[in-house]
Amino acid sequence: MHNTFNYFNSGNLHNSIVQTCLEFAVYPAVTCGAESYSYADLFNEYYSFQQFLKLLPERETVLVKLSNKKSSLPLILAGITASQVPLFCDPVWKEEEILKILKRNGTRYYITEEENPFGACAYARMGEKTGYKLYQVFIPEDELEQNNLLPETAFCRFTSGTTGFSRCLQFSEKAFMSAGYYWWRASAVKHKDVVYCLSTLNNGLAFNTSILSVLFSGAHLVIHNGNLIPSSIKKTLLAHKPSILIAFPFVYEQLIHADKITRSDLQLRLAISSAAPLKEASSHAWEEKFGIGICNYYGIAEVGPCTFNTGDETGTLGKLLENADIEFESLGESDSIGKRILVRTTSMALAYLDTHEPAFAERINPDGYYISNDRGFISLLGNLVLTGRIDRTINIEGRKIDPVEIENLIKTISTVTDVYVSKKQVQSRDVIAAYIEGNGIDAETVTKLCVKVLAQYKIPQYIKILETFPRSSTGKVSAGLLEIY
Amino acid sequence: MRKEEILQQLYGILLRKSPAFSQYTLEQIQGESLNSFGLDSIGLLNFMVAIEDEIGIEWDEDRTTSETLKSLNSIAEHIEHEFESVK
Repeated sequence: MHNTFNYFNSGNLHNSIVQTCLEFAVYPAVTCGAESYSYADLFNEYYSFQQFLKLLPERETVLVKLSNKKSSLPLILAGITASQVPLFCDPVWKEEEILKILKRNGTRYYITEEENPFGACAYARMGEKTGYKLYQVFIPEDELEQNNLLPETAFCRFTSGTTGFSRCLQFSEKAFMSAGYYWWRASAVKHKDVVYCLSTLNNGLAFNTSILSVLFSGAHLVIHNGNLIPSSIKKTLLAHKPSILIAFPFVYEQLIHADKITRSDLQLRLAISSAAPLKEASSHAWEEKFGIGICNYYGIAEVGPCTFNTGDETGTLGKLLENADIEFESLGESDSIGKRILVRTTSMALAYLDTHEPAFAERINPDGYYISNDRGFISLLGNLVLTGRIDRTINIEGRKIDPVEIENLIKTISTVTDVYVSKKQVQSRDVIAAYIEGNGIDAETVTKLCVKVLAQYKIPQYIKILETFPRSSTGKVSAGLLEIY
Repeated sequence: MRKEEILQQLYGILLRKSPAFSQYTLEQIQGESLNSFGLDSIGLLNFMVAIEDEIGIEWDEDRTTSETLKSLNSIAEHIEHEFESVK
């Protein structure tokens, strides 16, 4: 524990990585499927990726599409400590989204496992390492926007946005270490822990909980390989006997209903989920079946993890981490259902990388608090209770989706006059629903367009086409009436 | 189990798990990519779990690729092969 503290507080991530790899050299660092790195192997791969990134000029930004495999961990670490600046993106984004992101963030370079990443744009392969290929993408100068890269930025991650496109958040090395440190302090990860992560590494759920807290404790990270189905998960549970499980709510839902997974298959001391609405009945069912609660915590991409949930109060997201402060802002008449959450941590983003409005600074109040779009309050026992959203962001199984992005896409169909996207429950599952106003349109055309452009998780699973939307006397769409369909 | 029988079962499971497919006949979709009909990743996972539960196979990560799961045809062929290899 003494060394772990020092690794986090060294002020130098690279040195801490080197020291921890030396200390735990012979122990398993990361496993995916049948493949593993020891800490010694991890160091070698980390060093190799650092050399790989030197193919790029210093301070050059590079979009990185991470897969869930063992080599992704040293790539992440190398990217953060290198002078180049990785933008870690969602592995399911498609070509059109990737190109938009590159242009919007003034980035000409792309790392991915794909052999032929672009059909619509010229590119050249510059190098390859452990399956990851580095490409230069030849975007026309007049289409490549200026970015706002800051000197202290070490890496970037994305947030869903609310105005039709993802925003790229810049983070310092210090913020990354701070997020890992305070999470480590709350979760008490130790050398003997095996952390089984069923989230993609770019996602905050994994990024902030499964990298540094594991690494600096000399613990063992197991990344899920294959499909997220009970039979596959069971194999990993039996092979590695994890003590900590990190997964989105739909995985917990699956495990609850899977007869093939029983209490004896799990030896967990901690089960962590994101603050997607995990049904209370599901939380109870899980606890009854497996004898341990789910630690459903609150975190935002812009500020990192904010709470840790010990499960002492049902329906809450736990108490603030040591590095988090919270305030609440009145929203007037609707305060009875919760006030706006303002939060400040030592792991906050610095700014957006793109230069579009609104600027990141507009989301920070004069006291340095991030102005979230969440509502909530603190319970009598001091736990955070989330009561809803102020904007229209849809949260499905822990993934935040901007409905405006989907609406804008569907509106490009010439016979569509209006679109409204929201969440709907179909067959006891939350799905994206698209209500479309227009003539001569069919669901198949809409689906084909969405499949072509959007990541799979953004594709509407329910489509309703109407000649005219129900509207108020002022012409505003009556969402409540629409959602009855 | 024969492929035709498997296909009928798969189609039934798919309609129960993803009602949006009810607008298509088996013949219309069996050879086409499930993704192209907008089936999302969670929908696919639910489909895979239901197949295990109802048909009685277990997906082996070493023998299951994205090509295996591409269409009802490819899934049926895979299942037929799995049953054959158990005999």
